[in-house]
Amino acid sequence: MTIDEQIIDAILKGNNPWVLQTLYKRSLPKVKNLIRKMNGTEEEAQDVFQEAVLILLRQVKTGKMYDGTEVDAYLHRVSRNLYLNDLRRKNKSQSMPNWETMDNQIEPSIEHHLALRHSEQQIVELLSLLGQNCKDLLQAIIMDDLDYQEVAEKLGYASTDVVKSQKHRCKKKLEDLLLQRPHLVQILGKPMP
Amino acid sequence: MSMSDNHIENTIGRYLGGKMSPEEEQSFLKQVAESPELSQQVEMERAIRNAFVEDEIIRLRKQIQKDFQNQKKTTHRWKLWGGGLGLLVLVGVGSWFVLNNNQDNNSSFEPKTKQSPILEKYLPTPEGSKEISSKDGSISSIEPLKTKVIPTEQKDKDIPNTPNITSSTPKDSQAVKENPVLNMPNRINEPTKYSKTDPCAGFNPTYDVTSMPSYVDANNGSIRFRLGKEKLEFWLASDTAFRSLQFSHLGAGQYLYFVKNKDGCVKGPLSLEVKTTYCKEDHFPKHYISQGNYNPEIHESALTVTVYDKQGRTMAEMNRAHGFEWILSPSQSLGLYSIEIQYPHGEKCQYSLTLFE
Repeated sequence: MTIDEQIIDAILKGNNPWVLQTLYKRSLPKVKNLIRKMNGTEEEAQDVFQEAVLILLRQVKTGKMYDGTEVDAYLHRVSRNLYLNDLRRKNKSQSMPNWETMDNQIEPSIEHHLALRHSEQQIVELLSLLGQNCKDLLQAIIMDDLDYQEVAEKLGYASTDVVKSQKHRCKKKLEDLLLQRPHLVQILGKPMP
Repeated sequence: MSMSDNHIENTIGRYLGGKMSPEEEQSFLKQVAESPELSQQVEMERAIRNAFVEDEIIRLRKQIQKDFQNQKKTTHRWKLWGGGLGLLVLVGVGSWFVLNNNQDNNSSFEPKTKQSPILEKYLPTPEGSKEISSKDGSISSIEPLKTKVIPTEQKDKDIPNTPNITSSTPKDSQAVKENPVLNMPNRINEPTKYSKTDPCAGFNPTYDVTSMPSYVDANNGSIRFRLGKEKLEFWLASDTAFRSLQFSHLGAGQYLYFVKNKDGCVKGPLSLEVKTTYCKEDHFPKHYISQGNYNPEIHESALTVTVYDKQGRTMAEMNRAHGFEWILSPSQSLGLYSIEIQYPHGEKCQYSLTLFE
């Protein structure tokens, strides 16, 4: 297994501490180097790296990352686009040479990422209204892909029937909460670019 | 929840989890396109999944921010320690100079008073001298051993052989003056030592420098330095802070660069040109090969492609007529190569290429 495959595998398994440590060592210096070359500061480089890692994570989690993707190359492209985007937003684009153009393949992911970032607070609110127990239960089933027996053992439910009925109840609750927030359904419900 | 609902939920789950075969997926998407109700269900299911992905992303963002803050604190702490240490060294060096100057002044102008006992305590005891104690046991002065310090008979006569000096007198100052350690010459005025530390003495840097051309209308040229035996630093005039052996994203034009050796001698500005070219390919920084075959994606107008190894030996020659495919022989290893592409009007473009599995 190559290091890139290991990183993607670790993201899918939720081993985020290992993923972060690996990316800090392996990719962060390269991103810093890139942003420095584009006249950016250390702090800007850290911000860009942070968002690029989050975009990577989303792409992997939503099955948009192909096998054989070079993580470093992907982070480099995303970081470059993020920084250019940031410069444009701050009206500093005049300071960039005219050859610095956005990568069209990456741009939709960045736009989507920025839109989701604006909705971050509402997502936090949504899941907090769902309640911790429901959140843990749905997370175990949907994200960790555990079966009812494993969920019952992990979260201490009496039987798989209880897990099943609780899942139905929690999901209904989350659907109702989402239906009250159509803009969230719109942004979360559309396929990831 | 009915069986049918369960079935639909499982089907949507398999679709969103990427667990369907291409045929199954195609059939399912057709159903979704035909049924607005199913389409809404897919949207809701995806929204639920993505809400959890976003929750994880929010947590990860907090973690990264925390890590960077911790790193900043650690760096700040090290800077404080470093600053404190630097200050301590500065104070130490400053004291040494003050003491040294005091000794020089003593010798030049004949001191009016004896050294402060506090300062005296920190003076080094030179080799070949002995400490002279007063009656209360404290060190009152340092007397050099005349046999070691004064080599000539004439000087021997000049120095009074009085062992117990307790006050500042011309004799006392004479003893200090002749002391080989306390009267150490200033390094800067020491010609032999100074010439040894001249950072530019004999500095004729040896290195190779190559400039890779940029394409038309794009800043993708580069300058690459290869070191000889010496460890050197290079930077372009436009960015003195950034030192590297390779500078990329360069447009065509004349570049000034500087080279510095490990002793701090800087040479430059030296000039180098990045040319422009009509190359049409992207860079070839890395390429996977599968089963020993390398199939580069080459622009359709390319005529020939030649691969060279690090020693410049031709490894493969491919042309449009026979297709661009290189089957590596067992003796051809993975690693660094250069690739040359020739276009119809005679332009040639070279790139570096790394092959790995």
